[in-house]
Amino acid sequence: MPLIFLIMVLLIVNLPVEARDSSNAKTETNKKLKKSDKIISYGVKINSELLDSLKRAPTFFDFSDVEILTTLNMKCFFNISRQAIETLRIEMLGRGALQVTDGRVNFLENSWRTGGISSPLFLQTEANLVIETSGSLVGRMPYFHSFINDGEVAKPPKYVTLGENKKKSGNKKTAEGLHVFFVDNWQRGRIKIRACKNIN
Amino acid sequence: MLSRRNFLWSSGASLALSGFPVHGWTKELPRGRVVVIVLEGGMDGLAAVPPLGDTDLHQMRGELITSAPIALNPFFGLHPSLGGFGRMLHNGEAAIVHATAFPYTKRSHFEGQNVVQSGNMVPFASKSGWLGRALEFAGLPGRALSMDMPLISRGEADVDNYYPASIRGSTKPSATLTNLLSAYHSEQISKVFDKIAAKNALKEGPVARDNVSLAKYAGAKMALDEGPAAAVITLGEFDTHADQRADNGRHHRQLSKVDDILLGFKTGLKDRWKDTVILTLTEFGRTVKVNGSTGTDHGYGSAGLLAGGLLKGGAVISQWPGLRKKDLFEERDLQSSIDYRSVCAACLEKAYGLDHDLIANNIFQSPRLPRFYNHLFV
Repeated sequence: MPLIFLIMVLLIVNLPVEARDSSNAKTETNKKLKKSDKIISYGVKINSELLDSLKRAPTFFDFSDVEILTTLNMKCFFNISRQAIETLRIEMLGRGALQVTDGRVNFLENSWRTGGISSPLFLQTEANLVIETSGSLVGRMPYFHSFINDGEVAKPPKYVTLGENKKKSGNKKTAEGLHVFFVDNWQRGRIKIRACKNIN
Repeated sequence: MLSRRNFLWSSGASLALSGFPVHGWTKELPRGRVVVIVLEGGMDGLAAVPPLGDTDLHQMRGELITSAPIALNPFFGLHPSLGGFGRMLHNGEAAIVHATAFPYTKRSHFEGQNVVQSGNMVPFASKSGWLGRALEFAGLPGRALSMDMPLISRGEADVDNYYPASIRGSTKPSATLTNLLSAYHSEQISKVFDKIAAKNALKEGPVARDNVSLAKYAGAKMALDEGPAAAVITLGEFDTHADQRADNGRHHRQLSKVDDILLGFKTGLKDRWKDTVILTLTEFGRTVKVNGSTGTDHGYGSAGLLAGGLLKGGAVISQWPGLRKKDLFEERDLQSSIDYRSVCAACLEKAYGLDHDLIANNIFQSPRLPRFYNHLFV
């Protein structure tokens, strides 16, 4: 009897041990529908103060306090320019077309004169703007203001906030008008929206 | 002179788009979009998602724990360089799978990258990648947009790929010229000119090569109904054998780029974000303990970061193996308790509507691959 016991111990000790690199074996038999009860979902909840400080997309804007002119549906043309604060000189930066749908602005075909990496995609994919009930443009958008020549290092756009000033001209219940916004200490940005036509 | 290829590598990321629908294909196209962010070098899952509730963490790697983690829940934190991703987690549009890896344990970059991209556990045995094969089964073979086609995107069939020139002002050959050249050459050579004409007709403008711009560009393309169904973006420099640091080191700068890439895709995709799943892919994790150069070496288990509107997210999913020496793989690496192929398979199932058994048998050649779908999408 002790000999049999010894043989059994030796057999057990010499059994090959598999590296535990997966729990897959345990989930295999019920692989189609059942969650493994050993895999745990640890729910995520970040405290609100910390959440506010986390990174956002550069054109994020909180519209909760903005009264959007939701009845506005029109197609317009626009141009973007910069004005030097000291000399008041205006230089054209870009132009194109945009559509306002339920007060939200979508840029259509457009072009920049600034060179570098400026392309129509920036306004089309990133601009986050609405028309509020005063007729002003509100939100954030990319803005190329440096002219880059061939061979120069391209610069990414600045991201500017619109809506801090009411629009300078144009009727309230339309997108048309001159919208001026802060850029930096030596220039103001300007978007002039014109030739708008109502669409259904 | 800086070649285009070298510029691309030096800019830190590269992009491949694939799964453009073939014209005339009558099968209903899948609406889902899959993005894979390949992290080359071995991403340190313990640094990105530290298990703060594990009592052995500080003893094992105290000097590599960030000083300001984002507390996700009582057990896990998130490195602050992933703040945008943290917001997505909070909003339920992201998830983390922790202590996971492809079941590859030899810790070689070259073999490891080949395995995680091919989906074949035998290195260099496959000329195609798991994503490429999935696209073929989903009815989306063929054309791709990339300079160098990563293995993961290659299907079994030959793929025609191209890359838009980034040099502003570089001349596109006129259509008249290419047509003339095509007409006066043999049939075989004329096909080359036909391809050039077709590609130039797309009128691509200059595309910036930084991470965020590539991601936004890819997202915008994928948002189109006839756009690519898959994107692969590659980011290197995760192999931090020395001076890894807890904060502001190279590893965390790269994590910050991952964060920017995720935000870039969300920006570009716009409404199509809801049809998208993004997942990271790395060949292995890193050692638990710090080495003599205040870095970490090649390991095993890591963390997978997932994002996108398809996810029922907002959680860290793990069968946490622990950090005591006896719990580690070969007493040095974070154990892997979830096969990451299951995570990839679940994403393919959700986005492309493929059957799990088909994916397991034909894409990963692993018929017994467990289904992970319910953890991510239900």
